[in-house]
Amino acid sequence: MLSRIAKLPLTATPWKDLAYVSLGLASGIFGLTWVFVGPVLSLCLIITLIGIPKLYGDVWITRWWCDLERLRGGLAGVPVERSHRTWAGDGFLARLRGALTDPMTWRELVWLALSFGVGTACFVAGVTAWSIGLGFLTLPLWGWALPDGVELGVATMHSVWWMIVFAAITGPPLAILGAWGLRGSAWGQAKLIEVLLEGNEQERIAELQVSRAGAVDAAAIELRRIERDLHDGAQARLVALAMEIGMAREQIERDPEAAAAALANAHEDAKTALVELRDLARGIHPAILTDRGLDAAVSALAARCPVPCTVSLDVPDRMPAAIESAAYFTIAEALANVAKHSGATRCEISGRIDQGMLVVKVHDDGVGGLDAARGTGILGLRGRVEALDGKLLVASPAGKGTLLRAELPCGS
Amino acid sequence: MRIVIAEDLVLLRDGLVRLLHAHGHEVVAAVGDGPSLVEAIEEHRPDIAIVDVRLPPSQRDEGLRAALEARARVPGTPVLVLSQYVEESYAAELLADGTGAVGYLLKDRVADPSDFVAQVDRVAAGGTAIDQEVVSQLLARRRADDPLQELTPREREVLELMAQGLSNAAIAQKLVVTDGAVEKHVTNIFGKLGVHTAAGGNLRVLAVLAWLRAESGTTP
Repeated sequence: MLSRIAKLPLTATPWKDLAYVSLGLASGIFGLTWVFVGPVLSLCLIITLIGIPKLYGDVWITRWWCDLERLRGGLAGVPVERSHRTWAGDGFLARLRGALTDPMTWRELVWLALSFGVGTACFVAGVTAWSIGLGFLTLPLWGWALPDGVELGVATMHSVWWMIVFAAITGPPLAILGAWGLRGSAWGQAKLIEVLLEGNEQERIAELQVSRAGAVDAAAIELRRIERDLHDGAQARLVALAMEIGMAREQIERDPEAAAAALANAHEDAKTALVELRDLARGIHPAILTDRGLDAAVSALAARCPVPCTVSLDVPDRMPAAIESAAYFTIAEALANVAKHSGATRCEISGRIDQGMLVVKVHDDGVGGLDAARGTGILGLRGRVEALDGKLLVASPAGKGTLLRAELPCGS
Repeated sequence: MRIVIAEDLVLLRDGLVRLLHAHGHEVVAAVGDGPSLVEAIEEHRPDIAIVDVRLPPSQRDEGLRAALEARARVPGTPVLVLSQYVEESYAAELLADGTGAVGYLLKDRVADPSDFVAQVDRVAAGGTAIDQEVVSQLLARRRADDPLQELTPREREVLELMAQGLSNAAIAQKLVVTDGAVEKHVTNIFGKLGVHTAAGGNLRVLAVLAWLRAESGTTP
């Protein structure tokens, strides 16, 4: 215990703390300035309407800056998890309301307002303490340069030897005190940030509720798609089929040739309806996924894709059904995009387990430029993946192909 | 008879054209969306327009809205609305102006071409054709103290056919009874329901439907 206390100046900790309080001073200067040119100015501008969009930008910048502050805590040994909260709603006004009724937004602003005062105080106290300690310890290295010697109140030292003796006696304890002074300054500031800016269960619950809503939306979009497919596909096909057969029945006596033609049409319609129903059923849930698992189902998907695909899946035989299904539909949607829009000549599908997450990737060499914010396909997928606490990333720089990557917690 | 068709699925549009053609009717225009339907009706002044409820661009009840708009612009244009499923409230919207010459049928009805064409003819002649599904929906939502419960099964059948828009003669043919027997049933039905209408034809249909709607607790 004693040796731990005594050895602090010899570790990297004081230097990290020094970096911490120095960054804290810089951050404080920005923070206080920001409170005024950001939110306060926006509130003043609200009557001109510019203030409203600006305020929305402000809450995001405040949040990002506070994420940096949370991250900075790592230097002082008190890292804080970055904020995961989401402000849900249709349109930015609804999201702005979400942001403004979020207590964390206000706590972040409080911290930025305080950060200048706290940052300055901690910087001054910490740097002073550490400098005194270091100063006494290194007295012989600089004491000789003072023309009048080193004044110690009652006596004045002129000899370098005396300085060495003096530094040897007073230096170590003062360096230890100084290092701990600095430690205290950094830790105090970091703890204050932790208390103010650490997310809580509420935030996690809110996030879950948002992703649950996303799942409901995704399901609704999916149902709507199925209804459309049925309406325009098999249902219409069957109506036409019934009509053709009806006409054939009426014509069979007086115009057998016309009846035969109508029957031929009906026959075609019946076969097409079968294909459409089969495709639709596969789109709802492919039987092969239930029977054989992800690897086989994805291989079947890849085999049907007009763009040549390579598949390399290194995953357990069976995983939870929801995970398999989400991974399957992510890949199916990605391949549908590859086939329809990408102009790609080849495509790679890969999957593996990484730290309890199933990571699947679909990468093509096509034109890229896929807008993930549009297209209900991707939005539906995102809802589906996020509902399982997963993440969906789409990188599609124009001209450089598209990478779609989904991470799903697979509990293994 | 000159007909305008609005149906976005080519498969069904072509099928309808052939069906009507086989029964000696002329399709003067076959369009695929709501705005074109309104234009086609204004341009051709057809004897009847056959319209799919769901049409582009909105893919909702575009066809119904377009048909109502066309009727506002060219009053009295008979309109037969077809749909993959039927909703009693849509029928009410069509019937709301009280002039008749409207039909609202499931698409499935084209499976019996002769019956279907007969209904087309009836609507074109100013009559009403309401799908039996709609009538069942209306009849299904009855209250406990329901005068409909006093009807005999036969009278109930006659009421259903009346609500669909059939004339006494057509009902008699369908049930294989005499015209006189149907007339007797109709008088009994009106007596039990407390509907007082001496009018025949279209007005009778509207009166029956109005009674069913009012009694089922929905407001038009």
